[in-house]
Amino acid sequence: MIGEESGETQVTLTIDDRQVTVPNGTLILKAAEQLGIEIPVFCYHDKLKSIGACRMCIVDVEGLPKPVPSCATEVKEGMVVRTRTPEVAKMWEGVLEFLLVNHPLDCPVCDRGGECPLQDNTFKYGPRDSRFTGEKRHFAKPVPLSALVLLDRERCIMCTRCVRFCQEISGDEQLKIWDRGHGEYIDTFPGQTFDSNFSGNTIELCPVGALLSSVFRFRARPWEMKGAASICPHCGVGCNIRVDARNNREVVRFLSRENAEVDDGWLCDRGRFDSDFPNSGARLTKPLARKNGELTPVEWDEALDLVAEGLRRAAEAGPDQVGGLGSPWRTNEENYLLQKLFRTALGSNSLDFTFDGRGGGSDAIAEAFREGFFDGSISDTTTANVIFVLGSDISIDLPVVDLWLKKAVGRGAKLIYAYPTAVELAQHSQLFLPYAPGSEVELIEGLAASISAEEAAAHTGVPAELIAKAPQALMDARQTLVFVSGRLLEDEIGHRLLDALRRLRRAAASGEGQEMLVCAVFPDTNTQGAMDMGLLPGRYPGYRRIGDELAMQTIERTWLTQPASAPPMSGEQMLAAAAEGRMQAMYIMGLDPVSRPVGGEEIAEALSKVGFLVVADTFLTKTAELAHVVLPSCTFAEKDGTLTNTERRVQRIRPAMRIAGECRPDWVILSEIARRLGMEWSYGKAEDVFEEIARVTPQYAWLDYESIGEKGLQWRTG
Amino acid sequence: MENILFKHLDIADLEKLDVYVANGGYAALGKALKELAPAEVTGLVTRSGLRGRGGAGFSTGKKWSFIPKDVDTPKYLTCNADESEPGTFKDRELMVRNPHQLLEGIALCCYAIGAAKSFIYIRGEYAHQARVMEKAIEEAKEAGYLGRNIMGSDFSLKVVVHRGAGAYICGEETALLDSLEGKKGWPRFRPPFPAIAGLYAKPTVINNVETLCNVPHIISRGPEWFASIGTEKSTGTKVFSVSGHVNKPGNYELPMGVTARELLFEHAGGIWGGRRLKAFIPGGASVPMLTESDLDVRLDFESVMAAGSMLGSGGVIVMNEDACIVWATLNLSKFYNHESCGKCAPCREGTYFIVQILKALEDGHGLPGDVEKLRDVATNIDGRSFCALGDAAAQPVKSSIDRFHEEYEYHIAHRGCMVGRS
Ligand SMILES: Cc1cc2nc3c(=O)[nH]c(=O)nc-3n(C[C@H](O)[C@H](O)[C@H](O)COP(=O)(O)O)c2cc1C
Ligand code: SF4
Ligand code: SF4
Ligand code: FES
Repeated sequence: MIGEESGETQVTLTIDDRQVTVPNGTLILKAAEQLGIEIPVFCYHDKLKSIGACRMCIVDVEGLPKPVPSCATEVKEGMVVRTRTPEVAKMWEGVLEFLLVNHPLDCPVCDRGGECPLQDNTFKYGPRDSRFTGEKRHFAKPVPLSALVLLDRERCIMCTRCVRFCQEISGDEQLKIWDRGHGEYIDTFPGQTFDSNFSGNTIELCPVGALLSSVFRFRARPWEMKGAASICPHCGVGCNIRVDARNNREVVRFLSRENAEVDDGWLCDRGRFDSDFPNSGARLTKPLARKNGELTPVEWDEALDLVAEGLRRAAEAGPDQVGGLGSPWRTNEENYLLQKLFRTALGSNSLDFTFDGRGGGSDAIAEAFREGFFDGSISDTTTANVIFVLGSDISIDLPVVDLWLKKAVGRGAKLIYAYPTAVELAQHSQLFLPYAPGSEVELIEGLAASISAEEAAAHTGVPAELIAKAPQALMDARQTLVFVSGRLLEDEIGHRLLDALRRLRRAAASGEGQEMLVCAVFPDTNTQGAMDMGLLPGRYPGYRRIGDELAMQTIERTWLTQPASAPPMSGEQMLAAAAEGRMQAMYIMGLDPVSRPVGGEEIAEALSKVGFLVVADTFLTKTAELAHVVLPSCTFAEKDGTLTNTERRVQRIRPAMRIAGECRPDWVILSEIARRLGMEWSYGKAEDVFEEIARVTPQYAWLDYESIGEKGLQWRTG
Repeated sequence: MENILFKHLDIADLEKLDVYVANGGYAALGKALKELAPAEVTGLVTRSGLRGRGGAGFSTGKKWSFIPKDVDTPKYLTCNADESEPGTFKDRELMVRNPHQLLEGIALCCYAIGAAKSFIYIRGEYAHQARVMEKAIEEAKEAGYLGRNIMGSDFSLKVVVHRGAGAYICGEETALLDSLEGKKGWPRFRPPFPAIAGLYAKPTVINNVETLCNVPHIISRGPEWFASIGTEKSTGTKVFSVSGHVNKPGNYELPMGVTARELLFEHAGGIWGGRRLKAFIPGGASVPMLTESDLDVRLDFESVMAAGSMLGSGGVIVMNEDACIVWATLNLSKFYNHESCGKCAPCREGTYFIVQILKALEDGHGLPGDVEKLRDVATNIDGRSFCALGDAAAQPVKSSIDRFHEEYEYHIAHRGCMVGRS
């Protein structure tokens, strides 16, 4: 197999009197690009199939009777292409004149004005004056296609990128071309809204200001905005985004910042359109302390003194009476410092990032991470022959991975989807296994053929003939990729599930050159990082066991104090203790468990019995309302840091706007508390914290801010 | 001259199967199935010199020979009965008056290319013609000329009539294929060509009705006989649809190479109203106009091309001296603007632009420079559009300006029409 690609033949051609050699099958447009020769395009897009429709990119090829679209014409040996002749200039000018015939030219009030390919191409190649004096066609402006996407049909140049996105990429066929000729327009099906998880991508694909974001519309001119290379804060994929802020004051939009290994250049709507929260007037901007029963604004010094004093006192009563809760929505640096604060200044190992029960699965998953069991990546979807999803509705848990899976199916990969109900992706699968919740282990045993299909069927409720189809597919696959729900792994069946997966791996990777890769699915932004940083009960950073001599020595070398070896309490245990009035103090960072749809009331009840409750968050959440001291944190848009996504990729966020009010990043807040508790921490910037993380967390040992860079790096074991 | 495709003019009720068979119908198919290998059928058609009658004049035998042989994949013949070219109405007469001639041609082609299924894509307005074809298919099936094991051979064929929904672009062969597949009729990018990836991405031949109607005669009477009619490179007869300012508009089957003068004056009864001829468009609306001085041009592919136009579909539109060229061009341009599919910018927007300028000229609002602008806009479409519809839209504009410049200028100078019809 290797070497096949190198058999690819090369073709040499001449473009504008310069020779270039490219692989057979290259488009003229791409060959020209290699020479630095720009050819304007509209309908062409790297991610969509060429259609050669708009005619913007036509060039002359010697010997051909007519000009050809360079975006759809492949190179040939000895081809002579001309892009810079007066004839071609006239053709380009002609096409641009045509595109402007019915264009409203309302650039001054168009969101795209200033970053518009139509403006730019007209500026470079278009006519200098306007010869069209007739009546332009009119449409209602703009029409909402959904609550999020608006369409100004007068500005549309009918490149059909949006339509092709819905066809080729999201596969939801939401947008279509209606009518024909100069009267044609883009629309959804009659009476339907643009109902897609990915509609916002069409806005970014649109080469004019026809498709508009209801969140961004009329918010800013491009020259008022500055973009920060960051990571979408809304799920465990960690799509790379550019956070655009206006005048350094407010975040106005998220744009894709393509990472070919993570997001393939797409964002989901949940991520893209939830960009306004850093600007909210409801944000906490000043510390609050409870005085006479009321939360009252106080100065930072007062608040921090109170927190330090409260925690110190509680810890004196006993390390089993204080605990901390970190967050999947905080950076690695912040979660790291939280556990360090507890493990040094307060002598407690009671740390977690959830109050949910884990039924003991956390130990199994921790060991699995330590041994490097999880080795699958999102981009393995581009090579896997079989992709097996277990227990996750990917379209909701990791939305953009939905697109990777559809792309994989499109190139012929087999998708085996195991989920209790027929979710959308199940419909794209070759084999859908709707099992009874709780029977995951038996299902996998059945797939691995370690129990008979009939036996597996009896446990799972999936017809035996369906289960029987899987073993052969796995046997035949050179590469199998498994996405398994992290929730299941943390559950009580976690141990058995991991064992079953190990057996499946032996079965699916038994042949020469076969492999099975596994990726855990963690829907929340930084669950992986929170676990890596030592917020999984019973584990120091890097999944080292609490009390493990060697681990304690290594950590002590960096911390210059021994890490606590007190027995840990999990979030669930802390909650139970709180309910019984046994928690003297708790510090909750970036988490609002009281607002959970179920069980919130019991949590509130328990937390109200905590002797001293500190909440650091961006909003006055229901949880914060119960606190004795509330500390205003920065959002992801106001700080540096790293997040670790579901495939263990460590990526950087960067500040996009000035800090709101008196807010501080949590790592700064924690440092201040530590200082008041006598710790000698000296982190000048988030990067200093990361350097320390790399020293005490084996998986992160080879990482630093520079190497993580713009695209992130996966951590590795050993 | 003997009627060949138009035998229905000599024989009553030829649309009936028994009459068709009694007059030698389906003999060519019988002969091919018994005596000729598929490649031999293609060979005969190639040798006859038959060229496509749908407009482009491509060698029919050559087209069939592009269909991959020895590949185990379905292949299709699609008969183009969309006939939407203005001034063209020959296919409907061929279908209504002699449907089995077409079906026999279809069967011969399918046998030659190895197709077991054929579609007749017929323009939506041809409801009657579609019914006639459907009835003929049923009759032929019952008599064993279509369906399973045709005439006792191994060859089976199913023919399906599909009615279009009213779009000129769906006569363009690749838009036709998309439409047939149930999509919006937009032309496809080539390559791949339909012979490699056509209908449902399978090898497909697309032929015009008239083209296929010639095939039974070629098989029956031999390629040499066929090539003896017409000119050296444009063999056989052509059905000319003559419309406009003539005394006897209608279809005339004449040998390729007949002069325009003979067609218009001897057959179509001369110019209407005793007036002089001003202009004629020899190949449907989509080709450059010719004038009185071109009357001796021979109507075959090469000669019309040499005269600066094209034979196209052979629909001859005639205008006498009372016709206003600006008005006529506006009329034609409105057609192209209305029918532009909208896929490419030059045609979608260019035809709109052209209509706006011509309207101003026609309404007496033309300004100096408008004629040059108009011609330049047409030039910017011509050769730049995605498919030939755009090129076609440019032809009436460019040719009318080149030949009747003074009429345009008159419209600007006098805010009205030179021929006094405004
Ligand atoms: C806009 C446009 C409309 C066309 N309409 C027709 C038509 O109505 N009938 C037809 O036979 N060919 C039509 N053609 C030509 C077809 O594309 C194709 O060349 C023809 O059907 C091939 O058949 P032939 O080789 O037998 O001529 C049209 C072409 C264009 C560009
Ligand atoms: S809305 Fe935008 S992307 Fe869609 S066809 Fe129009 S210009 Fe292209
Ligand atoms: S020239 Fe362009 S717009 Fe016109 S019909 Fe062909 S593809 Fe459609
Ligand atoms: S960019 Fe090439 S035709 Fe549109």
